[in-house]
Amino acid sequence: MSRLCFFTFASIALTTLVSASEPFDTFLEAHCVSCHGPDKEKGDLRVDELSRNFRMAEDSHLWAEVIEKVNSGEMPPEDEPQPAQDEIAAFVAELDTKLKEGKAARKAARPAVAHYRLSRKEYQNTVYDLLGVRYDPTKPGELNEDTLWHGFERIGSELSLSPSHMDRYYRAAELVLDRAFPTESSEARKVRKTAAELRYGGGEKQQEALDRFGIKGPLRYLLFPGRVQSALQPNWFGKTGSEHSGLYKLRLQASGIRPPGGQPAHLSIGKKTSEENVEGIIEFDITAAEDSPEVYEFEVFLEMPTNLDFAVVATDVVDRRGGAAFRNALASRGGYIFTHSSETVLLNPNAPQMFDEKGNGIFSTVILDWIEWEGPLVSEPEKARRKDVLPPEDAAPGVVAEHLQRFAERAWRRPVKKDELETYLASYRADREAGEEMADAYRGAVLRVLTSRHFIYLVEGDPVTREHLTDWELASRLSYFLWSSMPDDELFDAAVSGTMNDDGLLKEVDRMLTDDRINRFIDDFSRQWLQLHRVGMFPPDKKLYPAYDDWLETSMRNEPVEFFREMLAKNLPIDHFLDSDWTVVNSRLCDFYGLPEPKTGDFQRVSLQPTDRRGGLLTMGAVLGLTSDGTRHRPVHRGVWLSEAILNKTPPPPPANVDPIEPVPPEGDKVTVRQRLEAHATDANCASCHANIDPFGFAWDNYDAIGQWREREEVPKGKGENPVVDASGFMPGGRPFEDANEFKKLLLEDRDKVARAFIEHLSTYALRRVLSFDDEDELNAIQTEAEKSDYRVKDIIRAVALSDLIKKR
Amino acid sequence: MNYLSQSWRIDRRHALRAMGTFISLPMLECMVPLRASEESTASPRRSAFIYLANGVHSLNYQILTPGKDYEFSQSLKPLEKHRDVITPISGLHHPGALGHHHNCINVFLTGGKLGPSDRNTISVDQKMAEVTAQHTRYSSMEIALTQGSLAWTADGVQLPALRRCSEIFSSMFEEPKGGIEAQRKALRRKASVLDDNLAEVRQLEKKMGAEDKGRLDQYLTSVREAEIRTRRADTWLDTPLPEISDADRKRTNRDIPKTQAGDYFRTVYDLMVLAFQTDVTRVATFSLGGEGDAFSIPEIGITESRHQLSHHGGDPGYMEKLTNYDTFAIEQFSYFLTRLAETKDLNGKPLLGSTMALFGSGMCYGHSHGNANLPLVLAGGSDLGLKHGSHLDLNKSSDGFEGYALDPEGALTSTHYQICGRPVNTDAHMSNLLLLIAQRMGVETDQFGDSNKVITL
Repeated sequence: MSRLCFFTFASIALTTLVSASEPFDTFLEAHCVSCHGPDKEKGDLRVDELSRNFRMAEDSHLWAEVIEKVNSGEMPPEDEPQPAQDEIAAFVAELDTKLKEGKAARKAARPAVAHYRLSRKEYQNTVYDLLGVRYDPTKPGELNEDTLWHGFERIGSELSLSPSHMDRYYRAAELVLDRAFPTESSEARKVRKTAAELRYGGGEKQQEALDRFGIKGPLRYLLFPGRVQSALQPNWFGKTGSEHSGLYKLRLQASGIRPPGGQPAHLSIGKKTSEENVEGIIEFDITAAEDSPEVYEFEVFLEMPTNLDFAVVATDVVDRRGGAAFRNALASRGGYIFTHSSETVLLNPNAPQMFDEKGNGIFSTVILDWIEWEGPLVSEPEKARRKDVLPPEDAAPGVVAEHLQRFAERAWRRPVKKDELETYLASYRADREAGEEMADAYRGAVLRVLTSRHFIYLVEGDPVTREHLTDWELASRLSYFLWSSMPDDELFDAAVSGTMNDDGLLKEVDRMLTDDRINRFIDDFSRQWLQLHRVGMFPPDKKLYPAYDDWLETSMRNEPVEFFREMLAKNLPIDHFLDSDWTVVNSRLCDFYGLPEPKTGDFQRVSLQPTDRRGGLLTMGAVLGLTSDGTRHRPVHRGVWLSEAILNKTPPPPPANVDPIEPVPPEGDKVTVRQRLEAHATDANCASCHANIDPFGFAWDNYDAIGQWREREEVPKGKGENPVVDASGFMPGGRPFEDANEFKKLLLEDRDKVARAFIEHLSTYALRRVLSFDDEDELNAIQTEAEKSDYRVKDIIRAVALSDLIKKR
Repeated sequence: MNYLSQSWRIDRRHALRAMGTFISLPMLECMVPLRASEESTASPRRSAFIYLANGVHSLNYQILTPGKDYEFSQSLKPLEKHRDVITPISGLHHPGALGHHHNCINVFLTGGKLGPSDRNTISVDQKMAEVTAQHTRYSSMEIALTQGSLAWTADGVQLPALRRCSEIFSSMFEEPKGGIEAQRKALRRKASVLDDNLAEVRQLEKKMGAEDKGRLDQYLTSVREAEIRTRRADTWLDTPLPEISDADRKRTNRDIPKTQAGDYFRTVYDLMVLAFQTDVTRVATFSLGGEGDAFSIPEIGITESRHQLSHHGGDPGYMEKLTNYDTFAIEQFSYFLTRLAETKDLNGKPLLGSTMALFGSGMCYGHSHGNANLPLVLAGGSDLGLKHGSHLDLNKSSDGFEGYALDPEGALTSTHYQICGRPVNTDAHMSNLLLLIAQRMGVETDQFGDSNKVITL
């Protein structure tokens, strides 16, 4: 039986409507109705009676089956007249489009009162902005992970609620209130440890040795990969309990040793997970030279009491060479003495050497001079947010009610009527009458506000349907769009005074775009738009990709985000997403891409030469790696990603009944992944679909599964040389390209389409829903506006924020 | 109201006041004293579901002969000693998972659909928990060593999973914080807070009449169910926690690094046995690891991730390791069955008789994501009427099946992969098996997921 896999593209969101009387009905009439119609009803199916109302999904599953059967060649049966290939293609395309249109319309449907649950991130930001409380919903046992829709975390129709969610929201609310209004307060304390103090016995023995040699320089602490060392012990502060949890400031002075050809020294600080590693809560590269150490400063939330350790992360660790004895000699209590690389031979003649004769480091190491912890710190702005939330001890019932109302208005992000809170106040009074302390009883009322649907969800609409948002709803939509959090006082004021239109709205949006909180948008939107959650989902094989480690993965994941930050800050045109002569990288990525080592370890803008073979999003390690399966690159997955993220078109899923891939026998010639997908190109049936996907992926064949440049594809099994990569192809429509660079140029020619896709992604993100045809006019208007300013990123975002689309329910 | 001195029944007044006239049936059900309902049930029935990601090396896994006199395949050998209490099953599939690659794990216990606009449906363990929850302190336990759990609610929401052994232990056996009275007070406050929020949402519901309420219904059911659980927990406070021997505590209440997979797997199994033995819960799911990053097993020389091994591309070394991994995982499952057989429940009967344990994967041939002919073994539950001892082969029993693809020496050839990707019998739905297990658990239904009949055993 011939196997057909005809598909064409249909946008997730918007597809041009196909007018009636097309191949669809003609095809059914010609090939289906004779057996599945009024005369015969084979398989109890009458296609002439299937519902054409795709929006209601009445018979969608049956239509899907029709596609499947026709597509697989199962229908019409072999002994019936066979339709031509282009006939099938057109039929399947039209039916698939209709089904997708229906699905999008259903996803976009809004009931009179719509509830959009906050994502975990938004919940976190909202409790911070509301009460100045730091709460991490991603910790084990806290809020459940959000369901993703094409990478988006905040699509209302996906964010559902189970009893377990409710339990966790309740717990979270309790924890947040515990932190906002602790029963025992604790003052900030500060502790500082020098390198000597970090050693056993305060480093006395080592100091004695230094005195013997007459070395004046202070003891320094050599941290090496392969063994964790203590970075924080709660008893350093004296008695430390949970009341000391909070924000801590960490300062430390350090320098790094980078071995020739090796990695920059990377320091991780976190909870110990093994003898040699920690789960890093602080991660950074130390590029300061041995003789000019730098002071590094971080702020981090700590649940006390806690132990933290240092781990130097590198692919080459100390225990690889000489086993435990080697390592123990370095880590032993009194043993190893370090002051300066030039003095190690003198001071440790019998210990393993960490430096070669020229004074170069053999391993990536960190030289620590001192460390300082201070906390828990509460800033004035944080305190200000919870001021006046609690009524005074002797408050009259009216005052209590007013306090609760004021709090509820902020928490629910809208005016609240007194009678809305009456149930809560009744419970409060009942508790008081039963003898509860005022603070306890009031806390119960605040808990109710925080577990109410008005807090957990963004609620839009009234029981009586209306088309536009109220000013309050608009304020929330904008603030969750641009700040991933609740509106601030100014935005509240604008909503109260009714100035959320024209110039007033423009002023607010411009203020929001320049406020520091816009960084939340940058982090959240870029992660979701580019599906960065997939980075490292299939961890690369350590043997095939020895250069890959956790720090590289984290750095890769951050690059597109930092790139986006720069795009927004400089208001650059979207063309840079596709190709650029700059990127934003840290020292680990410079090392990985073979770029010159930067002066500091942090992310910074660097310029790129054509020989670097990078530029734009598409040749970043994150993007090239997120579609791989851990062993090899996956051109088809790359193609699908590009189609979704850059063009906002989701190819239909493959037919279910494709023949399995036969493993290639190892005695055969070496073949590339592309060659193994040959059927996609040579088999006309497969090609009609894959011609629209695969080229988008083949263009990047010069980059391996973790994004390293190559001329030949490394094929572990088979005979002969590793085959040369072929990254050429044809765009759908026929324009040829030779390699990634030419492909990028072709995409640049399509910048209108790319801009449109970007606008659609932004709108989906802002509206928290899938778009439908009903949104087309408004989207066109946004695009017209954005084009005026040459599709500059900040201007596009502003155009979305000011659009009619965003004001609509 | 004084939480400390009021009895449960007076507490109901508060609920009635807060809820106005909209009292739902489940609220009232939860007010039935627990002990009364327990007395009326027969002896406990239990179920455990264990998931192995990425399929198996099917050429070394497939059993070739149907019925009683089957010969164990290489990977299934460790189960030979349990022959009388197990049924290996071949030829089942989830139609909804075909062509959906690694998403198969999400419908493994639900039989749901995976299309872009489809919402998952309830998993069989949660369907069972609806029946068993009233008898036990916790309605179910969800364990997944990496990635998500196997359990889904009726609204298609995935339940969160526990991973660490100490965390699993404390979730079941930890003393309430601050003592019983403090705990009771906290639970009553929670119930009352949830009550008030329910009352508010019901007012809106009333205003909206018959209109589409969207997410509102889900919020309502979730809050209500959370409240029922809170009240249940309240009642359970009067029942002392089961006593755990020092030896059991020591063995299970600890954290095991993932580099010691065997110890980790066995300890989780021990915790499941402990949970069943003490009747803390009767339903458990255990994913040995997600499709993306199931553990490597350094103790038997496997440093690659399971996912990576499954994409062996015909490499004999990888295929051998994959077989070793399969065998290793099945060995640990065999350990679980042994422990169930030698451990007695509160009624003094061996747990294995009253416990059905399903082991398997939502994939068969990992290299090309073949989601048919799923590797499945059902064990235990003889007291619940399951008759074991045979290989249930739904490939063999289908029309048009031409036999397994064998080479002259009688070994399976790679042609066998065909039926691991495309079902021999399109009616042989795995939901039919899930339906059987559900029914034996006492779920009164003749339909589960996309079942079209019930498998008989």
